Amino acid sequence: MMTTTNRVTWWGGVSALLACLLLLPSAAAGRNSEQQSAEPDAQYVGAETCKACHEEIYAGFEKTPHWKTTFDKRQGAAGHGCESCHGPGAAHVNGGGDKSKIFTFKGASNKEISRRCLECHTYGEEHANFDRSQHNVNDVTCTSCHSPHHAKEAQYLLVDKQPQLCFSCHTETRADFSKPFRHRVNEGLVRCTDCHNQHGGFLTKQLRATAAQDQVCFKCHVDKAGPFAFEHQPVKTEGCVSCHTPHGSTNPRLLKRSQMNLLCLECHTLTVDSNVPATPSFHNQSQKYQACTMCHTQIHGSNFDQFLFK
Amino acid sequence: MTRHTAFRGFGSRLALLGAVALFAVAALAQNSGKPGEGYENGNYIYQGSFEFGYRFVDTKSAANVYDTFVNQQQGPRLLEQTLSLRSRNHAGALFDNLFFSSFGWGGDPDNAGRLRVSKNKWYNFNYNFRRDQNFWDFNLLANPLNPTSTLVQVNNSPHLFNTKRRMYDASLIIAPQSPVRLRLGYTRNRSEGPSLSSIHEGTDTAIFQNWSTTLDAYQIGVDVRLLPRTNISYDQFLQYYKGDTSWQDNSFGFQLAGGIPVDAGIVENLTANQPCAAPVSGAPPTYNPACNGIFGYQRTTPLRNSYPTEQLTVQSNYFRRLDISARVSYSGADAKVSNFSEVFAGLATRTRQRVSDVTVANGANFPASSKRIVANADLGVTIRVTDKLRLIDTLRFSNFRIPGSSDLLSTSFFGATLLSTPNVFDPATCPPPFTAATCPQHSSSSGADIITSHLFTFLRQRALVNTIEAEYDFSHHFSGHLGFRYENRDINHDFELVQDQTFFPSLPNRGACAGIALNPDGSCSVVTLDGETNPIPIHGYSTLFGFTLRPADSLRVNFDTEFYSGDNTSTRITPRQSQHYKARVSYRPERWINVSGSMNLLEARNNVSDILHKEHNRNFGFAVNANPNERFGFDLGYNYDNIFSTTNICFVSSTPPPGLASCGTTFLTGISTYTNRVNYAYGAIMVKPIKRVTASLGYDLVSTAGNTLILTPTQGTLGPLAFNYHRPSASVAFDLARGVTFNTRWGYYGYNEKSDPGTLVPGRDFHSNQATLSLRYAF
Repeated sequence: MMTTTNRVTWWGGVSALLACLLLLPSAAAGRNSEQQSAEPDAQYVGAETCKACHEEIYAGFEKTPHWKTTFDKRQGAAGHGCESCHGPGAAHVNGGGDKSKIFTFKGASNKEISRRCLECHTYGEEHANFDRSQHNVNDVTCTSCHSPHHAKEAQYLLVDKQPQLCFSCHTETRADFSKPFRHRVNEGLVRCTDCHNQHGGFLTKQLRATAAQDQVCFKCHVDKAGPFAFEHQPVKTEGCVSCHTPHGSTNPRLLKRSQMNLLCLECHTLTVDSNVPATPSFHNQSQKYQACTMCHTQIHGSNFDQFLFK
Repeated sequence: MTRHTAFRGFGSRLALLGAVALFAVAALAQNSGKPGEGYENGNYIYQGSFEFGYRFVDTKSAANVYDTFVNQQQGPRLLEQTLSLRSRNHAGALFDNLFFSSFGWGGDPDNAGRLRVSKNKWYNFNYNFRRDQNFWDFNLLANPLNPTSTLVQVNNSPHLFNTKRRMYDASLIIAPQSPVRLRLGYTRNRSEGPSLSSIHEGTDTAIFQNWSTTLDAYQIGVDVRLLPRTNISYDQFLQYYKGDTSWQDNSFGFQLAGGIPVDAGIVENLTANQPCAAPVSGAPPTYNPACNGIFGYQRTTPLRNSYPTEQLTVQSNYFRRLDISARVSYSGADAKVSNFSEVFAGLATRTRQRVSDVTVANGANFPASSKRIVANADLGVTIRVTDKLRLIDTLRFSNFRIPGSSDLLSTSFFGATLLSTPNVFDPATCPPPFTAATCPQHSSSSGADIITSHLFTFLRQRALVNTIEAEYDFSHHFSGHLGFRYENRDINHDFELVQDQTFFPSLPNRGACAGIALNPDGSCSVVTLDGETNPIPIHGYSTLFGFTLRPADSLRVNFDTEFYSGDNTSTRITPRQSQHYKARVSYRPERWINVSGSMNLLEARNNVSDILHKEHNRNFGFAVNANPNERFGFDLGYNYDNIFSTTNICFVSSTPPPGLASCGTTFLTGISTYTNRVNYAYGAIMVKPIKRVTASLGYDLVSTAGNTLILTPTQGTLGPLAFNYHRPSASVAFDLARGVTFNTRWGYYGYNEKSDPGTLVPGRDFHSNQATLSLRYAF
């Protein structure tokens, strides 16, 4: 547990950061907010008006979670129903349905699409980093995966189910999950989004982390998390991927090599530039010593043996 | 009935299933509404489906490998089920929406249930249950590959698993749309079941590993949104882990004279004294008491870990041109082994150890304990300099340290054979010159009789990674980004071992006591100290570049590169230089068709002269998915993956591959090469020739080839490096009535290794036919 001194120091720093973040916007309030410069309510016509012409779309919209915005009382007309996404519709209505006088997602830039969605969907950590996500940088926007009006998958309004949705771009990942040794993604037990935050995060590969800020693998493989009195260092510093290919492999245990002794020897060889201990001279690879984990069973870490025997 | 029953009793089961199906159809058709439209009752619209059926399985050859890969067995199943309740006016009494789906009930290896319930401004509740049966037996792993196998045949992996994991995840958000909302979460992860492990005590033997681990995790958090578009979250997590896995030897396949059962272990190499030169003789066969052997082995290590974690998150796009996300967290894990008990009885011939008992050291609170203290701080900033130019910075600071200690008392007794009673040292019965038969029977290789060991370890990593990128939209159709990543890691891995060793006669001046004066009673005491400190500083630099081309809304082309260079690595196979190229093309001219292609190239090396590690992973693929109408659709794709690695290694081998040079006495240098070329192709077609019939046909093939350095003559096979894995499938669905569908499915699994499996272990090839008949009802 954290000592009192550490805790005070840590939370002191955190409080200072928080104070800055809180005070800065306060100081600048009143001169920026786009929401505050939104169009006056007179330019909004309300969802019922939209329904008059777009009855079929409205019927679908009515079944989705977005319909709840029609209950919204706090944000005024700008946060209400169809116009919360498409913007004010009065000019569009007065123009006899002129498409150029209302925002349509078709043809809009992906950055603009994501900006509109994130107006509401940035509440919480899940979407907090979309702006910096690999998906956003590569011009993959919200409507690439979600379809508010034509969703195949009612849950989260997805254009397809997982993992097929992810495989539609990540073709190499589909191949990995078809290998004999794999995580059970095709079977539906594990989902891509269990390990990756598709909306972005601070870690590489948009990986999630455990609650204890450790590798996401330990969320399921809890026995490997430790901490151990004797850590196998790469597990903690390089990650599980130093020995395993996480999606799928032709090799048992998703290992990076088909023969375990080669995987071990590639690190455990006496080297001037490496402090990794070499294998001892009695580890005759012609004999049982090729089966490294037969003796070093606690290869991920041990509490009782520095050689990871038990 | 075995697990891999052939189509035994197929006819009778089919008749029974048909009768059930017809009865169900008759009953359900009367009540069904429009399929998929649901029906209304009160304020709710009910929709749902369930599919019940029977799966027939016929597996030939290596059933254990089929179970490792597929593990779908024969029997009745609730294959899938969904239920949706939606409030018509989005203002239900207890909930507005409820959705529950599940699959795999009745014995499938993977099954799950997922529930979502929400009521507009009041709450969102999610609950997931997942269970997986983890059967694992691939006989090349952890197998000693005995050069002769007259005594011990190791046909299965000594690390076989047959465990179950159940995971429960519940989360509740109260007042999800209010400026202050509360989040609660609970997760449970429970694994249990039989498995095998192994232990090295003179010889190596497979031991029964009774797997039992539980993780309970709790979360409470609050989100505060008092300022526009600014969210502050605080979370408190507590994870509590219980590890109650225990180990014991249960396999005593041989007998000593007098009928005493003994375990000869799983390693048979008589010329290397495993378990000895002549382990069995006479009639009936009697085990040689001068061999390595085990009478009993047991180990318990109850482990209790707690991981309290605090996290503060801030996200704001209050300023139109600035988006900030920050997160700080602190976690202080505490791991304790409340008790440790390890008892071995048998004979290790090299050391003459007959009995050993290991427990917590006198005066120590715990036999082992460790902590993991983590402080993380992350910051992500996007500055929209102009409408076209964005600057993105992501900073990650992570600092963890893991101090650990182990305090154990080991007591050993020695004897010459499995039948000799180990003597306890007593000056009265073992007077100078300590050669009496009543003295402990040590050899010069015997370890200390009593060892009190105190071991301290420390692992720390402090990492700072900062990525800064500029992103520019040249036009609506073209944007590019250029960036730089800096990485600074400091790793320290230290240990210190203090051992208080006592050597009793006979031969008290052995081992660490060589040349040390004896105590008055003839014993020898010595304190040994060992230690090591390994600082590893690493600095890395990456250049990032990429662009997105969008000539039309339906076509997107992405290209990304990263060039990395570092000045150090913490493992030999971690690259010092790498080049990573990624390209993706996605073309969706219509909503019903998607064509995509990808290229992913990684070239990396650690070119230090005595390592010379090089690797590449070159992947190319494409996929087409088209569903032009309800009567026809197809799906096809291909992927090629070329994995290559080469690394200098040093090893010892009594029968090495020819032409190797020495890299130190007894060690030979070699080049560990690994090549693996994987071709993956799949295709599926769906047709609906008439209104009530839907048919589909599919094929899925993984074909691999490759090569690797083989150091062990007994390996004798490339094993999983070269194989074909065929999975054709077909299905026909008959719409019997409104919402009622009768499904027939066939699937085939054929795994064939291309190289000779050798004679030491059974081959791993299998083929299996599955037929599933099911009835689906949707409303």
